[in-house]
Amino acid sequence: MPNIIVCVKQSYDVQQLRYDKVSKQFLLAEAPKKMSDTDRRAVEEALRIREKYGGKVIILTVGNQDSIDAIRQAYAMGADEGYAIIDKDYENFDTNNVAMILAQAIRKMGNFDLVLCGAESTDGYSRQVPVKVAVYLGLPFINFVRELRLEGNYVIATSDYEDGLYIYRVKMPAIVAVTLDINEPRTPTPSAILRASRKPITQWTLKDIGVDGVKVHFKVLNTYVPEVRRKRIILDASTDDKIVNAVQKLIDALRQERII
Amino acid sequence: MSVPISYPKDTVVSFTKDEIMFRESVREFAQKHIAPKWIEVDEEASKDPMKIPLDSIKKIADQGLFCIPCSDKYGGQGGTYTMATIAVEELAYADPAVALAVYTLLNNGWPFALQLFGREEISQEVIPRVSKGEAFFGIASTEPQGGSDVAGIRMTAKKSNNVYVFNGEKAYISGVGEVQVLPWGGGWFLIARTGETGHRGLSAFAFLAKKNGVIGKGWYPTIYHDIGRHGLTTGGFKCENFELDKDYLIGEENKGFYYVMEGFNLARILVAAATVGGARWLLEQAVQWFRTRKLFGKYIASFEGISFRFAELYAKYEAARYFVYRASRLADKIYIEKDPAYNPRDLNVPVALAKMYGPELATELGQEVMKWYGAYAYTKESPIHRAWLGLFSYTIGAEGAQNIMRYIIARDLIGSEYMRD
Amino acid sequence: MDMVTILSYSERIDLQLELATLANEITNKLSGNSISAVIGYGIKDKVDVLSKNFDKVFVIDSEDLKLFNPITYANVLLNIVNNTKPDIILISDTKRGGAIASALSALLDTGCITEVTKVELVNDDLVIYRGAYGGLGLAQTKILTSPKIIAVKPGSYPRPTAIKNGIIEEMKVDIKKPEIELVEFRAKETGARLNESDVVVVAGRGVKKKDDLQMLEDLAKILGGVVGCSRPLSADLGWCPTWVGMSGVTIKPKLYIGVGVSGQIQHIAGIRDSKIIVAINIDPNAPIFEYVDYGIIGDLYKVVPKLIDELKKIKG
Repeated sequence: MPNIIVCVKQSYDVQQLRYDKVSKQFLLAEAPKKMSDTDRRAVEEALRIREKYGGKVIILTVGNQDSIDAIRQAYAMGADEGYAIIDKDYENFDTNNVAMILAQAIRKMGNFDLVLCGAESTDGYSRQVPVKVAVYLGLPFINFVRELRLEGNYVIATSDYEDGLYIYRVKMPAIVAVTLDINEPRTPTPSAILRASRKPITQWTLKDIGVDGVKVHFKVLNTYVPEVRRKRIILDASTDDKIVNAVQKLIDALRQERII
Repeated sequence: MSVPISYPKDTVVSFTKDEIMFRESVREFAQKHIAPKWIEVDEEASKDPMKIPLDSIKKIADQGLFCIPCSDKYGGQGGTYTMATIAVEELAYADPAVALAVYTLLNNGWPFALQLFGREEISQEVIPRVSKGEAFFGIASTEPQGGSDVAGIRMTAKKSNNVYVFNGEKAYISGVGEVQVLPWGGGWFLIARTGETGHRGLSAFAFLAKKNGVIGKGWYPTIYHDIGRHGLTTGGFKCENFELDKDYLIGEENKGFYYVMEGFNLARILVAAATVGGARWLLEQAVQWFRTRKLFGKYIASFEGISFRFAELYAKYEAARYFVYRASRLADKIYIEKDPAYNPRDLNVPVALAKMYGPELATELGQEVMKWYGAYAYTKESPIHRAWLGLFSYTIGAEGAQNIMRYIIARDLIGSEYMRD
Repeated sequence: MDMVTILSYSERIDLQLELATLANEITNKLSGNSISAVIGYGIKDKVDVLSKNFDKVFVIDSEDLKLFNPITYANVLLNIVNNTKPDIILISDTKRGGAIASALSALLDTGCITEVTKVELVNDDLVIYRGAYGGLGLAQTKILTSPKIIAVKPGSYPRPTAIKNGIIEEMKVDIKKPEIELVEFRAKETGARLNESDVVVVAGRGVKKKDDLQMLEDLAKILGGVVGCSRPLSADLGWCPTWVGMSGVTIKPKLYIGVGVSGQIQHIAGIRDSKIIVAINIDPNAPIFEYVDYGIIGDLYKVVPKLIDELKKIKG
């Protein structure tokens, strides 16, 4: 009956992110947010483990008030408990800060067998937090997991690296970061969503978990949309005649570009 | 002095957090499971209307998208009517030929009407089956002689001991094929004559043509070949001494006209939502095309004849969408929150606006987008005509003809006494 | 900064060379030492080439490093960091490298930036560019603590021409093996090194069968290039060991040809710096057409064979 803590992040929904056409700056204030794609798979995986082996699925997030929504979403999927560490300076936190806060909270929560994280967040994509949580907690860590099962007190996890799949066996408690490929997360039904909104969420401040303050290690000077300078010449190849023409035009162009 | 035009009781259109999360959830579901197959479904069922996408129906049921506003004690979702509206809009966006959106809207609006007006035991029997995707429950009002003239309905239901005996014919009814192939069966919120001529002699029934896997005696269905919206069957049926237990009478005898009018109001909101979802898909097709297509060395949207027209249609789309959600929020006030400040009649004009505007916008937009695409849109390879033909079905008539909507609006504002000969 | 010390690490020698280029760029301007770290098992014979590109090469070769774990590797690397006191640590941002950089950043309590595509020296300070928001944007960042750990995406820098004559030093350190056991290893087919080729033909979901990749191979061969896959073909179908795009490989060839690639933003992020982008897709609405130099709207199964035929005529 494993207790699983799943660390989630409420991210900007990059698919719906808009930017100012003149300043090339992102319009973050109006941007919709959603739970990170890989984190949602971590929640799904935890729920599947619970369905098989029993236990509890506990959601943990650090963020601003918006991050409550990630817990509500996990509740709608079926998670049992949710903890949010809320801080108004969250937007300035770096990956060391976030990982340290998560580790502190996990220590405070205690009584866990497995910590699941998404290997990367949808918006930040740094892939830094899970391994840092493991370093701070001093627990074994397995990255890029696309298949997971339990065997007694052990986790059997398939790590997806560039050169191959590594199947590891590690004793719990352990930290595991999952990839997008591990599962297809469920989409909650209306009744599950309605039930979730009535479920309580535990909110903690940094002080509650014994963190006095954070030291920031890096800063972002500017984030912008790089210019796309492309010719965008579109050739119609919908009929056989047009294919001949389009292919000829492409070859002529590649010659002019000195590619061939 | 001028006559003040009264403004119907209104609600601010906004969504709750639950509804926002629900939209995300249903959009993801629909994009993953419905969108990849809609063209195939439309194509297959265009050749054979009985190619009903049962697997999609099952998936939609598992996702909890039928009977959303119905109480959880009947196996419904206990959601808002606005949630049903969101579900239909997103399904239509994923399947702009709208077969599955319409299938879903029928299985939300009419089971909910059954819950509102029918006997509790009947709701307990029907709604859980519809909810699980094992049965269908739609509307059967139209007859061969016409649909808009509900008061002129000819099918009779004669009470004899413990049963009603039905004779007559219904036509252009959605779900005739589904009722036959779904494991449990199902039927319709059916209107038939139990009394005098005119609307005061009509009663409503939970008419189950097939129940528990068995088709009733004296029920003779036919299936039509539609020009679009394939994947949802349309057909008709004759009743020759078809018997239905008296408990399936909805509400009181000879009050059916009033129930069905409220039911139509509810269903029309969802019909309009389907057209708005399809319209959103069409708009996106247009924008993508504008971003790639060049003519005379210029992007086609650099011609104002195109970009201005697009802007006008977009404005209509926003208006249509507003009408839809304003009406559904009002339906929530009346039927879900049961706010005493509102009554069912407050829905008449807001619903008529939505049902008049949405289908016409979607059809107009479909035609216009096809013109922007040019000859490609006239080929079978292009999916746009499928959306257009599907959405067009609601300009033709289902759930109330367009001119009926105009009549409802005009009657309310001008006064019915000034609209007679 | 005067006299900087830069420590570079990658699990791959070829990527170490890319880091050498960046390290040289910085030390040429600021003067300093460029040091390479090589850690692993059975690797010490392969480091000669590094001595031609770094001032010093530290080697830790131990059987205890046979099982890879980012935290173990970061702790081993920490020995070299403590020994050399670098101002900047460059690590190539592979799946292993990114995690080692992150773990090291936690161990050293210093800042680390991953997904880096460019580093600029502005007023003697480093401005570090990384992809942002799923590849849609670029972020200019600065690390406020020392050492600065920078994880550079493979393919961001070219290989240097050998100019140094560095010394190789082997180190012995205590290694705490992780309490993790490798049960099984299943090798992937080693695909072409996508980020080293001038021409890359990428197959997308429009390609229906794995066998059809041969057609793309034929096209690539005529152009002197290689074939890669988009994410779904690699991650979901397993047709290629890795994919082009975010969390896969970033490429910047002279010619990119996307065949049946729809062009999700995460894919575009991985090809954005290609010189010429060509796409062939039957769907006129495929987002990739917004990012192309030349786009052909048509059936890839008709267009690609025709293209091959015509190219054969030219190339003989």
